Parts: sequence; structure tokens; C-alpha cells
Amino acid sequence: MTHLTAGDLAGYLDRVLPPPERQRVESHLAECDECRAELVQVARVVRGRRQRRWMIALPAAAAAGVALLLLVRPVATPPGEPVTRGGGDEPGATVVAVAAPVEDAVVPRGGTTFVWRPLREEASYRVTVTDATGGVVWTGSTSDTALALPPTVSLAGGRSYFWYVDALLPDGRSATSGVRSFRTAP
Amino acid sequence: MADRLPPELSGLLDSAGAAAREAAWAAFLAAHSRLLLHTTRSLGHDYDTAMDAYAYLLEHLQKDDFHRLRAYAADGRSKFTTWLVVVARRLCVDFQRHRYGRVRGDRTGARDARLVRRRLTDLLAEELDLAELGTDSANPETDLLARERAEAMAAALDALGVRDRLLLKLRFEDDLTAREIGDVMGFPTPFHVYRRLTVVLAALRRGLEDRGVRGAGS
Repeated sequence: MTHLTAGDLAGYLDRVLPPPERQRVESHLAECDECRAELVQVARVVRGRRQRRWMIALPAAAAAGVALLLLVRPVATPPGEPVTRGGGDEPGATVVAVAAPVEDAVVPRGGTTFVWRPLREEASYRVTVTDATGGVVWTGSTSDTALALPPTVSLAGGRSYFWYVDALLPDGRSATSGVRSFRTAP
Repeated sequence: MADRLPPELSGLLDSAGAAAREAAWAAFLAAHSRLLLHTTRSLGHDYDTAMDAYAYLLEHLQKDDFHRLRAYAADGRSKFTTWLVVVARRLCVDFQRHRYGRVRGDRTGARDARLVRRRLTDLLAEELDLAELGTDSANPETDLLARERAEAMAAALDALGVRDRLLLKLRFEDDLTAREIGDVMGFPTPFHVYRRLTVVLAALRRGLEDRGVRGAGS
């Protein structure tokens, strides 16, 4: 079996391959464990690098945001309307605004309640909690805007966890909160 | 093509003379050494080994008048940095094999495709509530039933498109999270991954029922 070239793998991850090439690559990946493992490892390196860049950029962005808040009068979003992300990779995409726990909050080991702002009454939501390695610890669905971590899910003390809310809108579109973090009490 | 190359790469590939080449190499490293080190460390080496791997990587990137880097100039479909991660990682794996030989768990040896398929089939059977599928039993009738169901599952899998088969492999065989699958396959959010998985599993159920397998859930 001829394995995928570096150009095939990178082109696939960058989504620049034309449809027939993409199908050829996916067809190979579906059958070749070795190339699939390589693809996953490369994706992790590339993603890890992007996250590091975000972590470096975040304090600067936060400072710029504070400065903007001081300079610009905030405009309230009407209740029930989707919050629209501007200037991102997907212009006009909706995002779920989370309320609690706040970023990097310390929560009791026994559990916490995840709360977010409603997009529309008909939207359904899925909350996912992952550990620091990306492994899913728990996931739950609701049509409400709050969901408590069940007592059967035990979180280790003094650890970082990540959570996000995905919403499915009635018209088939979806929205996400982006990944948030919290820590458990020791 | 050359006008699409990053300047530090085109400067390197176009450099003539030892001094110009050395300066261009320094500029290339200034732009990409962090990425190369990050890639080297991603293979989980201790510090000293990672530095040895990094040295090996640089040596082989320079080798034969940068012939590896010239391969990007000939292809150039992807971002240079993504391509460089793939090439750097392959060189680090070469270094690892050169120093330690093939390690246990190395996937380079061809795995038994039937075994792989059985594993995916078993995991899918679990997902589809086919408790009896793939279980070992001393009862010949149960064995026969399990074999028939496994064959039906294999046929139902073959009937899926390649993208859906890849999705199932990444989820059930490689045990990736929905977020990772989204990153690899280009789904916008993990929710899209879950939604597609639901559709594919429903198609599998229908495929199994069409082949006379009952109890595939609903």
C-alpha cells in the first residue's frame, strides 16, 4: 500500500484539497491505520501550537477588551436573540454565551451547575466536560439553559477541567460556547 | 508557485554561495525553530533526546541542498507550517527508529485488517445494542448467529461512504473525542460530529435490519 505524502496529509488538514483528492485521501485514511494515526498526531501538534498562540495572545486581547469597554458604550443584545460573533473565522456564526462557572472558577469536587444564556426557546443544548487530556468525562443534553453535573460523576480534586455547550437551533444551524475551563477544589 | 512560498523558504532555496546560504538558513530557523522544537517534543522525548532529535531533524532538512524543503516548493497545496510539521515529525520518527529500533506498539507493521474490522464491528455492535454480536461462545448456534451478524455488519459498513467509514474509525477504533474528530475531518463543532454519528449509526441500523438482523435498537 502506498501511504499518503506529506502534501496529502497537510492538504487534508488545511482543507485545501479539491473534492476528488480529498475523497482519495479519506478513502486511504479509512483503511490505513498508520496514516490515520499520523494524521491524528499531526493534528494534535498543529492544534497544540494554535492553543499556545492563543494563550500568549489572550492577556493582550483581554487588556484590549477592557480598554474598549471603557471607551465604547455597551449595546445590550435583546433577550432571546442569538449572540453574533464578529470578525471570526465564521462570520455571522452564533455563539452560546455562558454564565457559570466563570472562566477558571474553582468548583466543589461534588459537582457544579453549568449555566448559559438562552439562544431560542426551541434550541436544544449539549454540555460536554473533558479532562485536561481532552477525554470526555461527562456529557448531558437539555432544552433548558442550566444543567447540573450528576453526583455519579466524580471529578478529581485540584484538577483542571474544560467544558463547552453546543446548541442545535430549530433551523438546523448550531452554535457553540467555545471551550471554558474550571478547576476543582483540592 | 515560487511566489506562494514563504519568504524565508524562498530565500533559502534561492540562496547562492555559502555565506548567503548560511544567512538564509539562520532566517529560516528564526522563523520556524519554535515549531520544529514543538514538533520534536510532541513525540514525548526527555530533554536530551529531544535535542538530539532536533539536531537530526535540522541535519536532514539541510541535506542534499534542502531537497526535502524543495518538495514543498514542488507541491505547495497546504500551508507551509502544516506541511513542515508532517515532514519534521516523520524525520523525528526516523531518528527514533534509528536510535531505538521499532518500538512496541509502533503501527508501521501491517495490522491484521480482519482483526481491526472485528474490533470496529464489536464496538459498533455495542453501540447498536447487538449484545450477542462478536461474543465468543461454546454454543455453535450462537457462534453461527454471531458470525452472520458480523458479516451483516461488515456489509453494512461497506455500504457507507468513505467519509462516514473514516468517521466511525476515528470515533470507535481510535477513540478520538468529537472535538478531535472535528479538527481532523473539518466539522465546524463537536455537535456536528455527534449529529453525523447519529445519522451514520441510524444508517447502519437500517442496513442491518435490511439484512435480517433484528434487535439493532431504534
